[in-house]
Amino acid sequence: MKNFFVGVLAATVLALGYVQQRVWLITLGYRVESLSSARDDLLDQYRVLNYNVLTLQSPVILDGRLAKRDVQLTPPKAVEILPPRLGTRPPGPVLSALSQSEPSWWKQALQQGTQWFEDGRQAVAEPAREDR
Amino acid sequence: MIFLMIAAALWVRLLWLQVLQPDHWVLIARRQHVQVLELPPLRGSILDRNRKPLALSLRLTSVFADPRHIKEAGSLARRLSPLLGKPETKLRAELSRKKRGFVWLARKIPNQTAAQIRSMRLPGVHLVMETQRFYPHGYLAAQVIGFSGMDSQGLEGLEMTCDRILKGEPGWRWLARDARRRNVGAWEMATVPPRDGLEVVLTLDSTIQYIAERALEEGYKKSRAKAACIVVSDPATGEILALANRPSYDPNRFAKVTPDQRRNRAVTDTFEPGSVFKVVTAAVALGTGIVKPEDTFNCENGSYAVAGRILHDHQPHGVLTFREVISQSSNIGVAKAAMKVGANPLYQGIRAFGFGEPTGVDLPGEVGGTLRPPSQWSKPTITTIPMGHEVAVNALQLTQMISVVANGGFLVRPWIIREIRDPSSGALVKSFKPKRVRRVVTPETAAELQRILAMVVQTGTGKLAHVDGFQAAGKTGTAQKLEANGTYSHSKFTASFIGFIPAERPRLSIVVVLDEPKFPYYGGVVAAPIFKRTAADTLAYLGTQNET
Repeated sequence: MKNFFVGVLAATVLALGYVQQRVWLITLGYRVESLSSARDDLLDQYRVLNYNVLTLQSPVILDGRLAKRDVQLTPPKAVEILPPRLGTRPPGPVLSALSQSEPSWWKQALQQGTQWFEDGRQAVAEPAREDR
Repeated sequence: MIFLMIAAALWVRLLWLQVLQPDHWVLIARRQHVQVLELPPLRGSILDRNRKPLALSLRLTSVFADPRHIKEAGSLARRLSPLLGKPETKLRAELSRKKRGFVWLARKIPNQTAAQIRSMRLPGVHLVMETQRFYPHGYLAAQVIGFSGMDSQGLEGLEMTCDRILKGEPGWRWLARDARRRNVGAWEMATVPPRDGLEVVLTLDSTIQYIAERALEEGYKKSRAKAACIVVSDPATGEILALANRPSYDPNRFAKVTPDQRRNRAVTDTFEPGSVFKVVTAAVALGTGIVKPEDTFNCENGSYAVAGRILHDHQPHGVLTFREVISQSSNIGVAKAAMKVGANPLYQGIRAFGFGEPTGVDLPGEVGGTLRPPSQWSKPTITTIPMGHEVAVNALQLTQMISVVANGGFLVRPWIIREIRDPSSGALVKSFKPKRVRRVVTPETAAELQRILAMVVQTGTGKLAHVDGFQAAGKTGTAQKLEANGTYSHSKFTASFIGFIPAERPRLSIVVVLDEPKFPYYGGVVAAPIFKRTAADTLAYLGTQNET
């Protein structure tokens, strides 16, 4: 009787071990499939990104983009007064006040100082048609 | 007792199912859980000589549905319609076809859209990967590369001729699926991996191709020609560095392309070459030794009656040396030289340059042109063939011919496929080498022709082909086209320029052909500037040392 129970126990352990192994195999199967799918997706993404880089480097595309921008660069001049429509904003209060009357020497010095700070905005000009 | 009978019956049934008849049920279970999954190969890329891709394949997702498993076609169509960009009514109709187990909803959609649909977990809607061909440079070398269709089959150009090399072989593997259709894998069963298509490396240089395309586009628009083509090649090896046609197309959108745009005119179209053919006449005349460069010809002040017809020059000339006859492109002078040479030597000489037969380039649809033997010539033929009439050639044959002059006298076969490589290992599968077919003229004759053709650009009809800092050599051509009634048109012309640069040590042979340009339709006016721009930019790109 004892042997019978030992036999049944051993058979049960073996059967459970077998089932456990199958379950483990299937779990691993899911994991492998999921990783394999992720790897394929990443490879595809890599290829797509590579393609995008190639496209961006293509002279056809680069030339088209430059043509679209129509930048028309010109050499900079020492002093250039931009037409009002290209100015980003009207002159600041300091410059406006100073321009009302004939400046004295200290006003001229102050004007030069503020001009130095305001020069930056005069240099800002956007291309006619920006390619965004 | 009853319990024992039931137990016995169960045991018998168990024995029947598990031992005596297991195959039947195993087969049914397999059908439900295991299936063969085809693994499609990735089509091989087409690369330029610097290994930059001109055509490549990417895997994209396609969406299909099994209408038998769809309960509410209306709501499903409403959800999918904005994602797939298809009308809701059309999608609903597709999803309601209960008799069909498979309908495509959309093919080759962007990956982001596919991810959205996947996350929605829609019953009866499935995703599958398919490959899609892309051409990163758009219209660049479109007629050379061609395109492949929806099912990755080459339909035009090199995509078609190299289809067997490019397409690869599909693989397959067994796949087990659970009740929720999740893949489990069936690792104990055999798997055959796909063999991706091989890479085809061309002799084309994408930068030179772009330079040539840009120059051609400008000239084509400016001249308002019906069509145009340009071939740039290395005269020493016959490698085609650029080949462009107008009108052209973007192979990424091949469905909207007309046959006119698809045609690779440089190989499929023949035309009467006109005065550019005088180079061949000059080569034969000088090569046979019958005519010397200093020999003089009376060009009859522009009008000469011969063989029952009157020959005209585009401007009257008196007595010219043979060099001047070519540089000033005198029809009368060249006809007189040809008559001095004789019909048979002239014909043999023209044949030696490869005219009258295809060049053998690896591009589809090449035609050999027309060159009749002297036995079929009429009386005036000896005066018309030397100036490029009564013969039909393609642009590639002209490239081959001008390369003979440029490389010192060898006929070199033009070629475009450089290598075939295995993309997975990078191993070289096959490489192609330049092929010298035969010597056509002696080095001395070739050198003399080079000097004469340099004169054409310096002082003759091809001044607009002059490139600053380099000496170019070439010949202009303006041929009247034949009308349907067999007479020569006075409004339709073929304008051309063939040449090489630098004249002393040529690195590039360039042929430009414009079909039916509007006035001014002269080769020296419309085609020579295209040569000039292409040559100047290409030499700058190649970094050739400035000669002068």
